[in-house]
Amino acid sequence: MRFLENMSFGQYVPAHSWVHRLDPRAKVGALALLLTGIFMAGRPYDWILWAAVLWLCAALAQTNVAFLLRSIRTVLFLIVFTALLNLFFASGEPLWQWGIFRVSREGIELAWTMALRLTLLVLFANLLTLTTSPMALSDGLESLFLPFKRFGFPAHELAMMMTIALRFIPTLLGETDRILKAQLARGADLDRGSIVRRMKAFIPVLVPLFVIVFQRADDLAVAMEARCYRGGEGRTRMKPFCWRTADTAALAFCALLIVGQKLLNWVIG
Amino acid sequence: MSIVVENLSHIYHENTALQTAALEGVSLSIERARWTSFIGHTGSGKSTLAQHLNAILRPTSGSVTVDGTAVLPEKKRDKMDFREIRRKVGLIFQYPEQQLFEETVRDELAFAPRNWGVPESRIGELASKALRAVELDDSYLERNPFALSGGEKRRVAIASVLTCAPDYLVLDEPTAGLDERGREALLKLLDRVHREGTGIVLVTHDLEIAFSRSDRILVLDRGRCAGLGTSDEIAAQLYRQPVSGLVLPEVMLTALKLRERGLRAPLTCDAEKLAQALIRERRRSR
Repeated sequence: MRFLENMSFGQYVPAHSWVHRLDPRAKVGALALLLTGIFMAGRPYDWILWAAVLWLCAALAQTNVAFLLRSIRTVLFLIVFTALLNLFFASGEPLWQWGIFRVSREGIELAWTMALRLTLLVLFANLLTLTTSPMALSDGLESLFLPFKRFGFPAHELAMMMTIALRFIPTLLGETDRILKAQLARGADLDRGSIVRRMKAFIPVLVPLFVIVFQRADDLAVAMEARCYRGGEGRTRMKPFCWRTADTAALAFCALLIVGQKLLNWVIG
Repeated sequence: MSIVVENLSHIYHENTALQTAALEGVSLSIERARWTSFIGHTGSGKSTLAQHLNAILRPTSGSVTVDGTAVLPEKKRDKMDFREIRRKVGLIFQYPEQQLFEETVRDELAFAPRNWGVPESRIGELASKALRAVELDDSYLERNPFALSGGEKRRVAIASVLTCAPDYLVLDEPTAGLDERGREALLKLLDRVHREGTGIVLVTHDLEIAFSRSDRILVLDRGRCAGLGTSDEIAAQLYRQPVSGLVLPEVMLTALKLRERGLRAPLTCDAEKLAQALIRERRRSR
């Protein structure tokens, strides 16, 4: 089954680049700063700045923009849809009108900025998952959210859920593949007939899959309890985070970019 | 009546970083009247080969021909219908009990015949017959398959493939996870299905089962054919040139060693048979 094989969005690619070695907390913080900057961008030269930053980050992560662009396929529909919505329904002086569709100068402007903005957001976010293993990412998020625990925010539980979910994606894809084949062998016909018929044809795949998922969840719970897992209280790490100068530098660089953008806007006017 | 596999290769995830060759240039012919076994170490490609026999997987190159219908490598936009082949060749995966999904055993057994358009009036009869074949009675028809014991679930899953009376039955490690009694019962069932005219293809790493029943054995080693012949030929070959991960059954190994020392010992996995043959031999020599 082809659709189970090509999962390029959000996939971790191990390497030993400068970006890979950054502390996951620094990377999450840097991403937040970069996204803020991209949201504040609006003028043409702003986009050139952010595209250059993306190219630089990709180079530092030992990957290239072309590889990153492949990941855009999964969200391409969303980007195009947003652009079209903005193009046809934005308010402003109409240049061209046909029924409810109205194209204005502001609409055109909004459409391409939105498309660019979304594309950059996705690419930067993807760069994070590309260079950070799921484990490191969820541990990083956990330690970032730890201060909110006082207000009842379940940081550890969320991180653990995320780790487990990520861990089981490949396993479940494998199981789905196996069940699918078993039902095909019993004459199931999955790609013929109306859409309703096709949806119904998936019931023989979904029911066994649910049974397996619950079984696995039970097994995992037993295995965790057998190793005395009692939640995050007093838990230490096998690989403690270690904040280096490079991490501070990365964050400072991202903050500088935002300031730089502001200054550029002010100077050029 | 045969399945002919010609120069079959299969590559998983072709043209990606994960590309792995699971099968390389395997050829064999499977006769319906015979019991064929595929043996090999984990990852030797035996399951991949089994899944080619009813077109669940398509060859990367080479071909599989089932009673005259060829399954060839996939081309763009070919909408070949393999359902006839899948009806002829029943495939039972490892842990088949995990494929159960209906609310009653009756519906579970009706799933395959319904898919092949068997009239509703005949399905009841087919279901009872298949249940009897796996030594369960009609009282099971109304039960919930999820409430059965592990062994019963597996038998229902096997029955659900037998309902369509396939010409060939391909089983991937059917004895995995069964206790001694379950194993014996399952093998007895397979013997009977085979006697009644179904070709059996057994994928296993249990050499004792393979050697005690097979007419032909295919040895796979890292995707390549490492031997094809009768069980006696393969036993002798494995004794001369061991294949990693395949350990001959103890009794058979003893018989082979006795032969090497000039005694006439039958190549059997049954200790009793070997002992009696040796006693006979001794009486004769006196």
